[in-house]
Amino acid sequence: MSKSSAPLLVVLCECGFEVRGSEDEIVPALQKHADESHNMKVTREQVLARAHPI
Amino acid sequence: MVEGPVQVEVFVLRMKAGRAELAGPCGPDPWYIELDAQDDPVEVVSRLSRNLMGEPVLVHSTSWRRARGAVVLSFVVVNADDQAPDLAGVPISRAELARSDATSAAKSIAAAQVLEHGLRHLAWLAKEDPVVIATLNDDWKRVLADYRPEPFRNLV
Repeated sequence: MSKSSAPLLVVLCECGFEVRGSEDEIVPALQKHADESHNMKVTREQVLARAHPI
Repeated sequence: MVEGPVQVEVFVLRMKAGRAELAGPCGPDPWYIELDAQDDPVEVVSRLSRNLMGEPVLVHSTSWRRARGAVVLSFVVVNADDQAPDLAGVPISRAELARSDATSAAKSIAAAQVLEHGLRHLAWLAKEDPVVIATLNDDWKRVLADYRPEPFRNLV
């Protein structure tokens, strides 16, 4: 699937941090936020479990 | 999102024009941090605070309670007056403390009540702890003088 046709997702942290984008964009963004702000190591699967289509 | 058997709840404080305000990464809401079994809570709170907002003036644990399916350690982080200006600040309002019955815990404890106790604990430290006395500026000591000093305690 090309990047342009990848479904857009949104994932929201309980602290209000929100990231929107493709799967490959939101996963590292939320992983970085979780590590830096909440001392959490989250997996790709955990991020995607919280994500919703836009 | 923050899970695990031990969590940290941080209230980030800053002085603005002589008035204390909440100014953390989650705005007026508590900032939650997950702890692993090997983590030192003070080290983790200090490190994350430093990385996100710059070197804190003071990091101190103030209470603990059971909540969110975990043991929650409450912390107060004091930043310098001009620190992390991009984070919006909200003035602190006063709250009645949640008090336990003689043989049972308080039924619910709001974040404002945890913060009220945290500031009372800070007021106690500002009178008893030489490091805190030397660290907090006169504005903080004036604000804390309005709080009844209380030691660290379990809130339930």
